[in-house]
Formats: sequence, C-alpha cells, structure tokens
Amino acid sequence: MRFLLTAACVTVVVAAQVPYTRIVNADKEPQNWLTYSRTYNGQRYSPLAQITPANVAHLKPLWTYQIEQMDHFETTPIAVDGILYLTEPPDAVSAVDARSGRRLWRYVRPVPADIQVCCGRVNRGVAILDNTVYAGTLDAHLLALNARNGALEWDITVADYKSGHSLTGAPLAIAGKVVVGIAGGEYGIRGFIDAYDAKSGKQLWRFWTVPGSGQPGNQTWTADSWRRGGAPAWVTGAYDPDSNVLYWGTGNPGPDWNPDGRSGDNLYSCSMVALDANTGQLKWHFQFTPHDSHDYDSTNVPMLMDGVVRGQPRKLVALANRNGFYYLLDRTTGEFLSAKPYAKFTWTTGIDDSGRPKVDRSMEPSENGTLVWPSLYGATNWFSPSYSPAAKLVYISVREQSSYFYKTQAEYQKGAMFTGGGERAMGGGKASGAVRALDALTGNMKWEFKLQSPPWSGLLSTAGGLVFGGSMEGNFYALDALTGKPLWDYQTGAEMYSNVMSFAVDGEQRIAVTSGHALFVFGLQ
Amino acid sequence: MLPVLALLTFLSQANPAAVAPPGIDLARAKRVFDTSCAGCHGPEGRGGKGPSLAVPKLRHARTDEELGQIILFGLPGTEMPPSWHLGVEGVTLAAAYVRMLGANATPPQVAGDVGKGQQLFRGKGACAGCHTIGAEGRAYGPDLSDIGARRSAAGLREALIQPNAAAGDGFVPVRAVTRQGEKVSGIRLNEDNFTIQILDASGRFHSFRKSVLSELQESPTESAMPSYQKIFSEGELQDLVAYLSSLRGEP
Repeated sequence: MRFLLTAACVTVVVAAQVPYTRIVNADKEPQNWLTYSRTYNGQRYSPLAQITPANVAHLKPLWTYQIEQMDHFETTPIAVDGILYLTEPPDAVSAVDARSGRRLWRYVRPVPADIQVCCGRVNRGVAILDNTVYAGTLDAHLLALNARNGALEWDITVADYKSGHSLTGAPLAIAGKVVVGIAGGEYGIRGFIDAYDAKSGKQLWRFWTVPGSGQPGNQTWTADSWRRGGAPAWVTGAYDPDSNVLYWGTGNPGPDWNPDGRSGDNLYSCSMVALDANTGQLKWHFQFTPHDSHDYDSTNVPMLMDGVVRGQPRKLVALANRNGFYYLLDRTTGEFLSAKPYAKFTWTTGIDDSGRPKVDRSMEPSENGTLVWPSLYGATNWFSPSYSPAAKLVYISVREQSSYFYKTQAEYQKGAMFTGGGERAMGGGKASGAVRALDALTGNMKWEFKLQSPPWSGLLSTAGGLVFGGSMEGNFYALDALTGKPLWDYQTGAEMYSNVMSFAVDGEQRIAVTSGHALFVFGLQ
Repeated sequence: MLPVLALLTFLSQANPAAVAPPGIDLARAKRVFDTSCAGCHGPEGRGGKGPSLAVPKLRHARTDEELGQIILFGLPGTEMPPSWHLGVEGVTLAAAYVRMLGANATPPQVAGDVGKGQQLFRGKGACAGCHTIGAEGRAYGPDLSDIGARRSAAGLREALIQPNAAAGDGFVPVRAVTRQGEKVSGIRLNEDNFTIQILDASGRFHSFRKSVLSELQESPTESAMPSYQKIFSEGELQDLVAYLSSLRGEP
C-alpha cells in the first residue's frame, strides 16, 4: 500500500505538475487517473485493489456533484492528486475536490446558439499535461486552461463549426502535443485528426481521414465525393509510447445511408489508422467496414495489449467494433489476425480470412426501410470497453438491437445534415443489453451479464477483481470479473450515459460514474 | 452518430408556412403517410391502434411546429415513436398530410347510445374496477379519461374483443414467487436489472429485489383484461364503444 501513502502526501501540494513521464508511467500512481482511459493503452483498467468481491457489498455513495444543464453528462473525470478535472455539458470545464465534491474552479465558455451537433450537446472529458487542462468545444475550438485556477491560456479554432464540425471527445495529451479527432460525420465534413503544440496551440500536423486528390486511397471515392466523405474521429484513441504511434478509430463515410454517390471502399472511413505521433504520417490502416451504409463508426476505444496469437508473440491492438465484431490486429504491421462476433449481426454473412466482411447487399438501407442488426447505435458505441490484464478478459457493454434503415436522396448544403436516409431503432421488448466478457486473444465469450435494455455506459475493470457498469434503468453495478456474478448495485435514479473510473484519496479507493446530470463517487463504508 | 437535434433546429428555423406550403406534392405526402403513419393511425388517418388524425384539432399538436416535433421525436409516455429518419422533407410532407386530413375531417359518427354505454361501464362490465375516468374508478389498468381522443372506435372495439392485440409495453402482466413461497400476480409498474415493482389486482403495491424471487414470469404480449366478446351483446358493445369514444379528457 506504499503508493497510497504517497498519495496522501502529494495532495499537500495545491495542484501537481503532470509531465508526460507521469502519464507514461501511470501504473506507478494508481491513485490517479491521468488520461481518458487512465493509461495510453486504452485498457480502462484500475490497479487499485482495495474494493474486492469480498467487501463490495459495503460500497456507499460518498458525495454527488450536479451539473446545471440537462444535457447528457458523459465525462470521464481526470484525477490528479486529490482533484478531479471534468467537462460539464454543454460548455464548462471544472475542477472538483476529490474528497468532498466541492468545486474549486469552473471555466464557462458559452456555445453559439447555432451549433450543429447531430447527437446531443455532449463532451467526454479533458486531457492534462504539465499544468494545463485541455478541452474541445462543441463549436470546434480547443481550449488550454491553467489547471490551478481555470484561467484561459489559449483558445484556437480547430475547424468551422458552421459547416458541422465539432469536438466532443476528450483530447489526448502526449509529449509536448495535444491530439484531437473531429466530429461531424452527419454534415458532409471531411474528417481529420490534429496535433497541436501543448504550449502554444500551434498546429503541428493534420491527418485527413479522407485522402485528398492524388493521395493514396483517394481512388476509393467516386469523383469528388471525398470532399464530403465524413470519416470523423470523435472518440479518443490509444497511444504506444515505445513506438510513438497513435491508434485511432474513424467513423462513417458520408452520406451515411445512401452510398450510391460514393462507390468504392471509401478509405479511411470505418477504419483504424496508425499514425506516427511526430508527423501524423500514416503507418498503416485497417478498414473494418468498407463502403459502410449503416453508420457503423469504428470510433471505439482501441485497446493495446501483448499476447501470443497462433503460437506467435504479438504486439496487438483490439477493437470491439460497433459493427458487432471483436477484432485483433498486429499493431506493428496492421495485419488482420481475427474477428469474432460478440453480438447479433445481419449486415454481413461473416468476415473472410483477410478481415473483409462478406456484406449482404439485401441488408442495404431502402426507401421503405430494411431491418438490420445491429441498429444504428451499433452493438457497442463510444462508451469504453475494458481489458483486465489480470483476468486476460475484454469486457464489452453490448447493445442487442435492430433498426429499420431508410435511404433517401442526399444533397449537400453547408451546415445541414447530409445523411441520405435515416433509421428507426426497435425498442421495448425487441431490444436488450448485456455485459460480455471475452477471452482477449480468442474472442470467445467467457460469461455474460444480461441487461434490461441496450446500455449507454462504459465499463471499468479493477485489480480488485471487479467490473463496474451502468444501465439505462439507472442501475450502477459491480460484477465479479471472473464469473460475471452481480455482487452490488445502486439505483442512481437516471439513465446512465457514462464511463466509469476509479481513483484514491487518503489511501481509500473511490469509484466514480456519471448518471443523469450528476457525478456519483462511491467508497467503502 | 444520430442526427436528431439538428433536424429539430431545421424545423424550428423553418418558415412556419413551409410545413404546409400550397405547392406540396400530395402524392408524395400520401406515400410518406401510408408507409410511416398509417400502420398505427389507420388508412387516411381514421384511427387504429393510434388515435384518429382526421380531426380538426390535435390535442398535442396545436401548432405546426408542435406537430413536426411530435413526428420527429415521438411522444414520450405514449407509443408514438420518433421518426427522425423521415428527414426534414419527410416530416414536412407527413405534417402537411396530417393537416390536410384534419381540414377535410367530418365529425366521427359512432353508432350506439352513450348513456347506455356509461351504465354498462359502471355496471355489467365492471370496467371501473380496473380503469379510472377522472376521479372515478380504481387505478389498475390504463386511465380512460381521454381514451376517445387516443383510440378510434374500431381500435376500442378490437381492444374489447381481443385485449391481447392491444397489449403494449405498459401494463405487462407479471407473476412472481418469492423464495419463501409468497405468490404475487399483477401488472408491472416498473422494473430494472435488480428490482421489480408490481401492483396486484387488489390494489396492493409490491416491491421486490429480484434476488429474493424464485420465479418471475412476464407476459408482455398479453393483456390483464378479459375479452368482452361473450360478456356483451353486439348492441351493448356498440353502446360501450360510443361511450368510450365520447371520453375526450374534457370534464
């Protein structure tokens, strides 16, 4: 418990410097949560082990922090030495005392009334580096705030919000840089991933997720359809410090549901891209869903892990894709290793040996609607999976739901929806949810915990041997990480659009999760 | 991602006249209505499982903007689903068609005697044993204070003869047995992953942790209401439907 004693001492300092080396070595300070998924490898696993299957029954809410707006509260707090940094929808960044829940500062920057966001005025959190907190805004600005008092250090325009660009994901801070991925795939944007100088806000590079004229991959688009090709990058990626490579998922090609004007594979939509973090150069790409017509964004958090696959030791990247398959790729080469379904699917008859889906064309959107599994919301979505290196299991929050997919004409107009159709999800008794635990290397399901309805809550696994998650009925729950047996639950009183995290103060482990318009923090009592 | 808010923004920014412009393509509007609305609201909006739309005034959609929002987002607490897939154009067409149906509406003619129907409701049918109308009756099944505005006469008649056909996600019959052997039957008030809330036919409220139950049976495709086909004569059914149709939520 040595690290816990250290935590108590460090908190004497008002606000700590968080140099890059601390984030790289995040496992040395498990009481903190220094980046979106805690570690650069995207595993969302906490080494804290105080709360266990044996004592989780004594978990109680300790304090609640409420926001003042009615938008979904999807933030993952960053925890540094007794202070939580979080975004409050639609337009605020706050620092909160991790012991008491009392606010220390708040920066508010009102969003313009005419912002275009397809899916709610949401934000999923901040990044921290040295003494600066970074947050994206709904009008596509990137802000740098002083971590001590919330004062604005710089504010730069990443893109024009009037053409449908926005930032909803947490930035990723690496050595000297802040990386962001753009949102706006329903507005005919051309997607990109950017890196900015952490001190000045100067742009260092931009990787276009849709290659321009003359670039490799551009030939996978008809005529100039690439200019409105979408492929947003709205969920925070992972990073391998050893190789200095970023792994980032990309979203749907535009227009979403009418692919007629963009024949071809539409690179690099619905893909994973591996980028040199110094230059933004593409190292490799793998496209999960070529020529997508179901809005199956591959904007899921990539999980980096190492393991032996078919007798060969590999550096891996795993992705539980919105399209219903769990993928394993070699993260050095991008080589496809395996894809295993973890939810019901009908859009394809399977995945071939090269990793390419055998798409069923009768499942394409149509004028009168085509019923397809999974729904537009996917078999999972932005909310995080978790990988426990102790259990060697990947945990996925699974949505078992179908949609009618409709196809209409698509005409581009700046700032207007450019979707070419729509979808209607089947609800009520026709949909359900689950937490599923997969063997990380084979994708075989080890256990499942059924949920009343399709969830919008991510998962956290811990060294204590627990998995935490939330439901749309307000249940916050703890499962045995090895068996899936429910061990504890708490009714939070609202639908949960959330990602769970853990930290410690004064040597005591805490579990934090948003529900409705509040952040709940739990501890043993 | 899911395009919803922006569509609303479009709609609220649109010129109000744009919802029912004079030059609307009626054939296309009808096609949108037939494929997306008629399934519940009936051919030409004469009502079915959903209420008739061929009425001069729609309770929830007094303005065109309200109508557009209801088509787009659905009506929470009812079975009206969101239809944002229609897009701005589809919503505009559907709304224009609904307004046209309203403008051409003739008052619904329901055969039967409203007064006799009310007597049957209170007497022979014992309907008030489960349904409320205003302050009257026992709250077990759905409140019927405005059922005439929500259901067509044909839909009401079907619900009386074949209650299961009218069963929805609400009022699911459940049967629970505790590990101690206590048996509870009733309708589900609410449920989450770990608990269930049940109202039994005597009006008693039960709340259980699911972990204490040895058995939990839910019948979402069944209705707790018996069929009245054999209880009422054809004339009595007509009178009851006439009475129910007259209930518009206006005391």
